[in-house]
Amino acid sequence: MIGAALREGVHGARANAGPLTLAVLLHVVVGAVLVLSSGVNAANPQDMPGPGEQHQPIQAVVVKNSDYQAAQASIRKAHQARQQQVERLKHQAAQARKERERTQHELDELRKKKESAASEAAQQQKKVQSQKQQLNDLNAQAQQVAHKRQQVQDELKKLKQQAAEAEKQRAAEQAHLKKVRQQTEQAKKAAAQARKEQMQQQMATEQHQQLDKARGNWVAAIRQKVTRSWIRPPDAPSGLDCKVKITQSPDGHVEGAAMQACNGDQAVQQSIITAVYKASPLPTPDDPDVFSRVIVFEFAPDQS
Amino acid sequence: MNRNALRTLDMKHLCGVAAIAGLLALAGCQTAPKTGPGAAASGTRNAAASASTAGAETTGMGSGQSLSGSGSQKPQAGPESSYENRTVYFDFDKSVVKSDYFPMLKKQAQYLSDHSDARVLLEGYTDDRGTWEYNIGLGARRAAAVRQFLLLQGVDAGQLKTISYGEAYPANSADNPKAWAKNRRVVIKYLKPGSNS
Amino acid sequence: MRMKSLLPLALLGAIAVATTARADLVIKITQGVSQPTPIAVVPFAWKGGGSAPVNVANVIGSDLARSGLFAALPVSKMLARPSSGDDVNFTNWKAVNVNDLVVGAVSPASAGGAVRMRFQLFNVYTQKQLLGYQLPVHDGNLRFAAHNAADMIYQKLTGRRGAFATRVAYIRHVKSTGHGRWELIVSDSDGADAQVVVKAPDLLMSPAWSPDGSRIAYVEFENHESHIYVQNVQTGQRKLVLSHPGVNGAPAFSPDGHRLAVALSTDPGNTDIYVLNLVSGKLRQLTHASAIDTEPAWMPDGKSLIFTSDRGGSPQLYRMPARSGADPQRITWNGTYNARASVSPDGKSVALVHRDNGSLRIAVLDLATGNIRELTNGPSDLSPSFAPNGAMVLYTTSAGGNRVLATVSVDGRVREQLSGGAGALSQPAWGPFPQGLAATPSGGGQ
Repeated sequence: MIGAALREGVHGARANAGPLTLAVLLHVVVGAVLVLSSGVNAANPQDMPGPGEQHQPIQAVVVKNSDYQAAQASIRKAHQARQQQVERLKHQAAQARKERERTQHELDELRKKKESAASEAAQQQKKVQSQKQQLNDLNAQAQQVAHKRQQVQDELKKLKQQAAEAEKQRAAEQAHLKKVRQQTEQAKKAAAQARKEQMQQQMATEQHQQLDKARGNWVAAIRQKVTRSWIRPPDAPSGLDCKVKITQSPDGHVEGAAMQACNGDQAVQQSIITAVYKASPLPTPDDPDVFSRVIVFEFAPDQS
Repeated sequence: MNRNALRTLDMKHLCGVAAIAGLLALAGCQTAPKTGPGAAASGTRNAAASASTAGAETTGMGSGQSLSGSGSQKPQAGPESSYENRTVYFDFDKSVVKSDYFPMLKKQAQYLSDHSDARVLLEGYTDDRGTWEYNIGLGARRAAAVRQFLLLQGVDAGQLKTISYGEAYPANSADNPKAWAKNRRVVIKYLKPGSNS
Repeated sequence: MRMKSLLPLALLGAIAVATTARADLVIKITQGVSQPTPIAVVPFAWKGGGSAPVNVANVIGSDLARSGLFAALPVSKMLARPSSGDDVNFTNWKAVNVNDLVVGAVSPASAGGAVRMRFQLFNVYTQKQLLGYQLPVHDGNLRFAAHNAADMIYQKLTGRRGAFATRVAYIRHVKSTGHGRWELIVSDSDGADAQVVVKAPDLLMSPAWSPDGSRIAYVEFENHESHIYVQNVQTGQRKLVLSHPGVNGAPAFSPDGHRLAVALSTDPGNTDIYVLNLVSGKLRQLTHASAIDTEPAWMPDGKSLIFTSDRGGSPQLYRMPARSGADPQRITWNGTYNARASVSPDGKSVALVHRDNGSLRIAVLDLATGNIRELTNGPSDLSPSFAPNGAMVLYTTSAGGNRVLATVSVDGRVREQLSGGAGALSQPAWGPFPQGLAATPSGGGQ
């Protein structure tokens, strides 16, 4: 137990490098041992009043001599044992003191070693650091150089590009110029062409409109005349739808009429055929171009 | 159409009809008065006609039971009673006997009750505003209404006969409301005892 | 750029013009004129001595005009008088604006032969012959042959069967002395050729034709009683069929000719509809209401009757099954007086007397819709009777203080008075189509 405590103490000393701590520890241990051993003795006897303490009178007890002798003998044994113990403990303490000194010495040695090692390490570190530093410097330098070279290269590239662009632009401008010249030429031609076409188109549209108008008037006149000529049978069915195709001569005379499809009875059909003939001669158009020889009349009175 | 056949029938019929007409004229049966003043008719018919067109008939003080037909005083009931005492007039499209006619009808009922062999024909008429056959029905309803009244007065059903002429034989063929009112009527016509006329 | 967008348009325009040039020009006609068709019926040539017994062209022209669908050109306006197609110059007829032309001739009876009539119908504008017939004239009845021709022309031009070669029956009351006399007359549909078939000193009423036109039922009053007779028109023989006490009236033959619907009052003042089986003599009462139920008219299928009843308070038309009379349904809801039904041949409408503001008018009730359409103006138009082709209605009206017969086209457009003669005319009944055509075509038509 004490050995363990010592070892612990040494460990602690090594760790903290404190001989003071070790001494304290030893004293504590010894003191503990002493206390413990006195404690062993104090466990057995009865409580005996100390000096000056007032106690109740003790009853006198007759004691046998044999018992007294025996008791004395045991006390003497115990005292001896205790003496021996004390000797032993002293010895142990001396041993422990020696041990302590030895370890202390070892510790000092170790400390010294450690210090020298530390200083060496420090020195080494310094060396490494300075080397690192050198390396860094070199690197930095190299970087700078490279950087510079890159810069130079970049500039060179840039200059080349610029030159190329300048060249390109020049070429483009020239092409553009050429194109513009061409376009201007074309535009002039196209404008002339378009003007020509527009005039033609306008003429055509006007003609077309005039034709439409003429046709419209003509159709309206025909429709009116046929309407007036058709006597619609009063009981013709709703939904009547009859188509009759007529052909006419240029002066509007109806030459022939043929019923194409008719959903009315014979009397209704007759009324329709009569109507288209009665309307003959049909009105002629103002513009002969709209004239159509064939007309299909669709009689559908319920679809307005 | 065989015209000859028709003509033959015509003649036969005409002869027969002429005979009957003659008999009627001789018998002096009363029929409905004809239109217009001075309408030619025979015997009592004529008198009745002119009486009706002449206007209101004065009623005598007597009970009208006299059969002698003295002077201008006619009895108020019975075969000798005046046309107006035998005629019930009706409102347009109605067949209800108005209370105005109750006294007159009661007198006729009394006569009939007193003379069990007397028989009357109740002739129902309408104005001409409406269709022929519907007016026959309306005239019949009017005649039935008068009949019903007389029955309720205790007259024996066997003494009562009805017929409807509808709009035929108007009392006044003018075309105005006054004339129409004169046509909507039931005429109590006393029949010759033992005959249908 | 504007120039660029115009180019495709120009192309399209060119294409459009080309297309219209190839397709036919279609002109839609959505209206016509609604007026009578102008027709010229040229006076028929008479191949005998003196003047023709009947002015055939006049009969035909008047018939066509009375229908409301034709306007006959006055003879004075005719530029020529052809009697056969060979003589026709269509320019003359276009000049007077007629659509159709009728020409013909009548040949008197040659030895052993009959009077013959020939006619042709042309369309003035197509110049085509539409009809051409040669008709034998039965019993020398040239007038009837003329009506036949009018029917054929009417049918060709309208598609509807003509009803000119038919007869009508009516009552005439001549007031001379006393009651005057009553006559039941049968005449042509235009009022001409009147024949008295019954003459009586007392009231005659309600003539009714049998469906085959051989008999007429009517009411005759005698001895203060009313009777119902059925008389054979040809022979004049008659049979008394009903003589109940009270009302006996309004006879109407069923479409099969076996039954007679009548109005009788078994109960004084209560007139009801009965059906008499003419074969078995059985009499069945159909109405029982204490109302005036009268004027029965048969539906063309013979299964139901339309009649007048005032069970609702005023005269209205009702309809009930002819077998049972169960559950009469009121069918007129306009106005306070609707009576005297005449059912159209197609069973879809009913001509009736309808009172409008006190004025009695002829109207037509559409059975499907319940709509009433007035055909005349009154104030006292009565006794409507449908023509057997359903195109016209015969009725009585007042003219110059007299009661006369008139016809009105079913569209209400044309009204015309019939020639009548003296006396007050009433209660006309239009007879059926003649059984079997009197004229057999020996020529051809198109």
